[in-house]
Amino acid sequence: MIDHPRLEEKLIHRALSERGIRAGILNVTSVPLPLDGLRIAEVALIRTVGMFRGVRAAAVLESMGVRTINSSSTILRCGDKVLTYSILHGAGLPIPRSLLALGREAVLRAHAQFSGPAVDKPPLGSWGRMVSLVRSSEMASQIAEARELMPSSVRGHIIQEYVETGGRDIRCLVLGDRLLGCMERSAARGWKSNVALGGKVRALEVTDEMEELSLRAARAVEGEFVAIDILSNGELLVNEVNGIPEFKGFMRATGIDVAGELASHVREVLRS
Amino acid sequence: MEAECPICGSPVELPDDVMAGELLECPSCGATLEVYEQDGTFLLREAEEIGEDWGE
Ligand SMILES: Nc1ncnc2c1ncn2[C@@H]1O[C@H](COP(=O)(O)OP(=O)(O)OP(=O)(O)O)[C@@H](O)[C@H]1O
Ligand SMILES: [Mg+2]
Ligand SMILES: [Zn+2]
Repeated sequence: MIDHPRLEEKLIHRALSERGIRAGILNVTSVPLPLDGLRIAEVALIRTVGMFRGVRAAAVLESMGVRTINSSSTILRCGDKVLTYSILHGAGLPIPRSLLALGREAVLRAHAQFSGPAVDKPPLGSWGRMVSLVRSSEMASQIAEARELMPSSVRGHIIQEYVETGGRDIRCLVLGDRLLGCMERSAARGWKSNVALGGKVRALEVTDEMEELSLRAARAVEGEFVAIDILSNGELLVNEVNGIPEFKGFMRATGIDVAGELASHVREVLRS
Repeated sequence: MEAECPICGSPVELPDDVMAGELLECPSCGATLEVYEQDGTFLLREAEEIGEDWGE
């Protein structure tokens, strides 16, 4: 299931074909899906760029009995960071100290609870968009004002402690009940380490702590193929879980054939 | 393979493994373009706006 195929989707398709798996590509922006249809496939990899497209396409397929990777509920739980943090915290996993603020007054009161700068991010979004480091209450209220003009999906605020990471974070890719590997992303400039913003990547040796944390986080959201982003200031904190992970930077950094691993995993699922 | 940019009219090189839905940037005008297929040929149109929920 795709909308705007990237390198990842092409690699996955190739890896499936190489393993003799008959894989069709369905672009959900051009093909309607029947809401009362019969099963159209055994397994579907949900690979849309649009998170809600992924959630909805997965839900429709699940109703037909298709095994989706990831499921609609996992994609939604990962796509909305408020849901993600709530689930992670509920499962006893460490997250950055965070407050949910759903209006301008709440935003200002949330910031007042932090002595230093704090990070403001919308509930949805990726590639570091709209994630700001807030250093004053003037800036906090400007952001709140600007956000009120945005679509409702990004109107809330997660106000959280700024974790002194040195502009780095750790990305761990989990497939099934296995950690494929980890890499470090470091910011090209500033403090956000997103690859989409030019962040540099390198492979990291997996520690027991990283492995335990990422497998527990994946399990908490019931993720089958997810990327866990971890912030570290000495202590490891789960920053987010990505439900439709991009992995070209990860393949480059670690040399791990993620598309091949995913295709082999699909083969196992089909056999079972 | 090439297709014409609908914004500025320049030719845009398409990758060998081009797929419908793929997003490309016009090297001449910088516009984000979407590949689509019509009667077996790949054409370009202006891409839909980036959604707030886009990402990974
Ligand atoms: N609380 C924080 N303290 C320090 N750095 C942070 C914090 N939150 C986010 N960052 C940095 O900003 C980047 C973007 O934030 P975040 O991952 O929350 O947003 P995103 O848009 O979902 O990114 P992604 O593309 O990884 O899904 C992170 O990769 C990290 O480097
Ligand atoms: Mg994200
Ligand atoms: Zn052009």
